Amino acid sequence: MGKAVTEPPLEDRGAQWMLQFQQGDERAFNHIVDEYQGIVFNMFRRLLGPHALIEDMAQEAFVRLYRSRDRYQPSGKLATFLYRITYNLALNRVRDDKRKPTSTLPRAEDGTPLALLDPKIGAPEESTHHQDWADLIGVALTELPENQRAALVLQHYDGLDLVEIGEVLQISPKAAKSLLHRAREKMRSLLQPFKDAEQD
Amino acid sequence: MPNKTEDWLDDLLDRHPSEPVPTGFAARLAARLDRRQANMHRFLRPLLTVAAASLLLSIGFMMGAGAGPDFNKIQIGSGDPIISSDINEIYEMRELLGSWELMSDQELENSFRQMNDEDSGWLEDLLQDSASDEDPPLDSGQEE
Repeated sequence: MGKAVTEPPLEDRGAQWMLQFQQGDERAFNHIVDEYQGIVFNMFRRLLGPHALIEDMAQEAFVRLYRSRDRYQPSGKLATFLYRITYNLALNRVRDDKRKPTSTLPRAEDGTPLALLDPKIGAPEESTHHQDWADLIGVALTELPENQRAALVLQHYDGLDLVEIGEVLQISPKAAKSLLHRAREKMRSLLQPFKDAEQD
Repeated sequence: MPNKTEDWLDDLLDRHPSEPVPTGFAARLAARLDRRQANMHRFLRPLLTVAAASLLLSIGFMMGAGAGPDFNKIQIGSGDPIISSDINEIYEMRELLGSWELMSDQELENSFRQMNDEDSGWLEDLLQDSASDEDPPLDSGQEE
């Protein structure tokens, strides 16, 4: 858990840029894009899985930030605001995909992704198959419910604490803690066989 | 900013690499925002025109409403009014006029009826006379 919660918003560089942008400085928005495009792409990739097309969604996230210029209140970090936009967009995409599935993720008859099916065959070897582990983790993440997935991604990869996770997901810190616990349990149960197979 | 704990899960999660930002993303985003701005202007102009027209109409209506019931007056001719009356008064008079029309119609009808009665009297007499001349009653013929 990396970032301090009590950091005054105006000390946040992103919030300052957003205020400048509100006052008509378009260059400030370019700074925001340069600074935050990485976290937006990473979050989309980890929330939507290894096969999703995410550039259009990343553009949409920044378009929404651009449109929110007039109503933005610098009451928190800009990153938190942007995480919330990104999470909501990802959530909409996941719901759309459930209505009309377009996922190319190969699955078994019971719906389990093939990549998670047979650890004896599929366990990647540490030295030569680092990318396989990455794919496996990506697929395992998509097996979590959306809110658990987001909580785990925000905590592990973006270093947000429970309060910040709660702000992004619009839940209490206690609920965020509960989500994280369940997410980690599920990930352990999914990945343990592969870890054991690797050790064998 | 990975979370470092003793948990083996965190070590595994760290193996998931960062997503590279595609080259030219910022430029494509800027182009999209420019297109959006251009579209906004294109749609905003007719919208503003309609809004301005509506505003002018509203102002005109409000100003007209404050001027009183002058629009209820009927004026015929130029210069000093020859006949000027409230529409409301005309509506009040309408019932009276209607009853007058009914009265006059009734009188007219009665007089026509009277005339008819009188006319049909002499016509019936005439018909009776002519009938008695041409067609003698059957009884009298048989007797002859």
